Amino acid sequence: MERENWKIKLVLLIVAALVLVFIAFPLWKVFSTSTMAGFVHFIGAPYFMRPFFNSILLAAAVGSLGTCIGFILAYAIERAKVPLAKVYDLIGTIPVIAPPFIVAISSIMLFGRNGFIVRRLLGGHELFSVYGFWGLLITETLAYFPTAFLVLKGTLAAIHPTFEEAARSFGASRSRTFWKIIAPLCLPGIMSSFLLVFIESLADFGNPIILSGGYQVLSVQAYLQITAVYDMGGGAVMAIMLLIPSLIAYVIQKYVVGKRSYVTVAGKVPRSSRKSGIITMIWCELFCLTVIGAISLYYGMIVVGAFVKLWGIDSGLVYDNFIKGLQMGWQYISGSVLIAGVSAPITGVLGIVIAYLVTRKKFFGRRALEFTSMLAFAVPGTVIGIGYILAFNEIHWFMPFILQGTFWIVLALFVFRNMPVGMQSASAGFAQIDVGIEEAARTLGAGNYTLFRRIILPLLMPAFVSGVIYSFVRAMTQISAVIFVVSGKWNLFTVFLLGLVENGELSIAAAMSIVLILIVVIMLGTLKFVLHRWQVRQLVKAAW
Amino acid sequence: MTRYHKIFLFILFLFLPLIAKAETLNLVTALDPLEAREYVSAFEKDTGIKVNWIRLSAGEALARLKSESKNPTQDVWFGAPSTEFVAAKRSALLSPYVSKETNAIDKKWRDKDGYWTGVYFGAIVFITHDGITPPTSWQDLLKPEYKGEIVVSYPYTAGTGYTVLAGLVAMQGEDNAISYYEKLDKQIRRYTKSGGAPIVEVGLGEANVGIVFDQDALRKGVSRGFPLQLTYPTDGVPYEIGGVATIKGGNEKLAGKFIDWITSLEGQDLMQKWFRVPLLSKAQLNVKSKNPRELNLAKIDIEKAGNSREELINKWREKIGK
Repeated sequence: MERENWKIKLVLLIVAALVLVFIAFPLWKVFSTSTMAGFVHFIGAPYFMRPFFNSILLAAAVGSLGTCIGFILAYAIERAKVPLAKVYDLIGTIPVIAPPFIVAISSIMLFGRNGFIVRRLLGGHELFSVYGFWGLLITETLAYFPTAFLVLKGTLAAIHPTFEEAARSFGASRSRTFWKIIAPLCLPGIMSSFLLVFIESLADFGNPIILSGGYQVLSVQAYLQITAVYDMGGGAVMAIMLLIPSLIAYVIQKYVVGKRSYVTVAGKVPRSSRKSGIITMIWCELFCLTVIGAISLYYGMIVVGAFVKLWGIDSGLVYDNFIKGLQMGWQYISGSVLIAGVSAPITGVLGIVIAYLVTRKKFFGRRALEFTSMLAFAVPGTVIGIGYILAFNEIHWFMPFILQGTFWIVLALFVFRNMPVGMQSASAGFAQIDVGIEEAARTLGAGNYTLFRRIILPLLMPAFVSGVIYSFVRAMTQISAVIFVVSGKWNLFTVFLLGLVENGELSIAAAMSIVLILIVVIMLGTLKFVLHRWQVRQLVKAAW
Repeated sequence: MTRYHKIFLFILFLFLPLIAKAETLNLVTALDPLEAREYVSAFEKDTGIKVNWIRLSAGEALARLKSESKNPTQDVWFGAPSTEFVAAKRSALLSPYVSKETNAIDKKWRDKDGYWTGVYFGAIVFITHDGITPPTSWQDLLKPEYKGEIVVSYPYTAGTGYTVLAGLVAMQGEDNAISYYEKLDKQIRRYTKSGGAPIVEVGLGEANVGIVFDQDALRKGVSRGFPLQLTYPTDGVPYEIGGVATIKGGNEKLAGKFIDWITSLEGQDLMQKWFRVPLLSKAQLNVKSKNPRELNLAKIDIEKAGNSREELINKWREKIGK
């Protein structure tokens, strides 16, 4: 036992050191690089303050609109049970696996002055400028409403149908039931959706780097301040100004709204037998069709754009874009796949290890470890990216070589930024596994390693898988943090895509977006298949 | 213990790429990937030296070199405006390099101390979508018909944007240039991060007027079939000298080989294919390109434009507020 304890302590030490070096240190670096004078300058300069207010306003608007759409869609699918709900459910989550700025590309293709809708259907009259507030609002809403949709679907599913039935039996009308029962019970879900989408929009980099320029936002300006003006101090100040509102929103979401969850069920929710009124049904169906239609339109445009010879000028159909794109971008694509493939399992394991330590072990600084680990996720990518470039650009006593420009910095960034999701689901998993099982295994002579491999990992397989899948997808599609650390040797698919858009190669960019989505889908399928086989084998083994 | 051995070996294997470093040239360029690839492949074929390259816009590259100055990862910087090289020279990021090949380039197109050597010439031009009356002078841009129709890159993110600003200062003096830009700002539809982005925007009709380099407009616009018209301003044409320079602390021997190659006839003759005006007088000129001698060039003091870059950009941001 003495030996085992020593090993756990070693693991804890290593994990704590990693978290300190790769999460706490870069964030500390952001703070230590900014100066008081920098803040005074920030507040005094219109070219800093305007993007700040622009970002907040945009995020609030995206949060509200995204939550509305997410709620109605979730209600239609979960409560009104509209026909084709399964299809809507599937399409509604597409934006989750697609790189967010794909929507920005198709925004230009649809609503630009020369876009499909504006030119063909509206005769050249712009509804709004794509490169402005409205363009960004629509783009980001489409990209981020699925978060609200998923949260609210869960909230609605957890409301016991008997509440509704009771209200109806007492003679309440349908609308009264909705406003007096469903809506109040959903309030925490609605607030937390708003805050989550708010944070996502605030942190968004991919869409505004393509569409801002008329309407400047902080995440992009901070990037330009660092990479183009080379004003590290100013960039750090902007990063902190970006961090403050997101952290406030995050804290409210986690500690205020999160505490007020109105869960009305324990165990499985019976399916509601009661159907919604026909009018509600029709409205819900229409709404779903509109939203899903919009999504299909945006993603469909990408497919069309990918086969067009020269977007906007020559609409002959070709497949050159794929060939050209693959020729130009092969090294980026394989680099992304390699790094996503390497980082995903590491991320998954690390998430479980940290979750195990913080839920099962008592030690000094446990809460601090948990909080710091979550930080990398809660903080906008721009801030983490700036932190990494500040921290790993030089040699430290604990870091004898320069990480900037190597494979390792990209890997570390992905692992630590994506780990919290796996960690969260593993923590939830641990809460469900009785400590007795572990004790039994120990009594039977299992050491830590055996315990971890034979008991914990199989039981936590769903959490592990979701952590791995999440981090794979994110590693393929993320850009905001990683754009700061890419280099000639280690460059990524998303950065290549951004370069294509900036050079006006919209058709090639569209073609490469499709390739990216295909890779993600294929990898997800393979991963699921392999893990399923593995699980079956484990079950067979266990049965023997 | 075999498992632990395996794990140890695996970890060692992971660290291998850090230890082993082959002789390759690390090149940073602001040229577009397609074009950069062509020079790089030709150079690799001619010399047998492998090239590891990255595309960064001129401003980004300068920032990257500054941030890496203690430990440079790049060896040669190719295809950025000379103003950026002047700024880099002042920040002690470059090493001088002079050879028989660089001496073949006219003196006025290279640094007097050999810190950078010009390899092509580019002029600023107004581009308009077909059917739009083109502006013919900088004053024309202020006309009401172009309000909200002009696209140009930020001076602080793109070499193109800064060349415009530096050219205006050379033509009108600093104070007049800034107050002119304040008026121009009201005409602008949007600023772009990269210098070439306005071309496709104007080509597609997303905006009516763009301010860009002529070689970019010809290559990314006209030759791809976008209906664009090029008009050189009559009251003064800002220009750039695109150059090449050795990065201090990098592999200076390999960098020199690249510089020799790109200033030789082999390298210079590739320029016209991309509508660049080569600076080696023997090299070919594309028929669509304009000979610099036919233009009313702004009298830009390259050294001064490079040295006052930061100050000028700060003043611009203060006044324009972008």
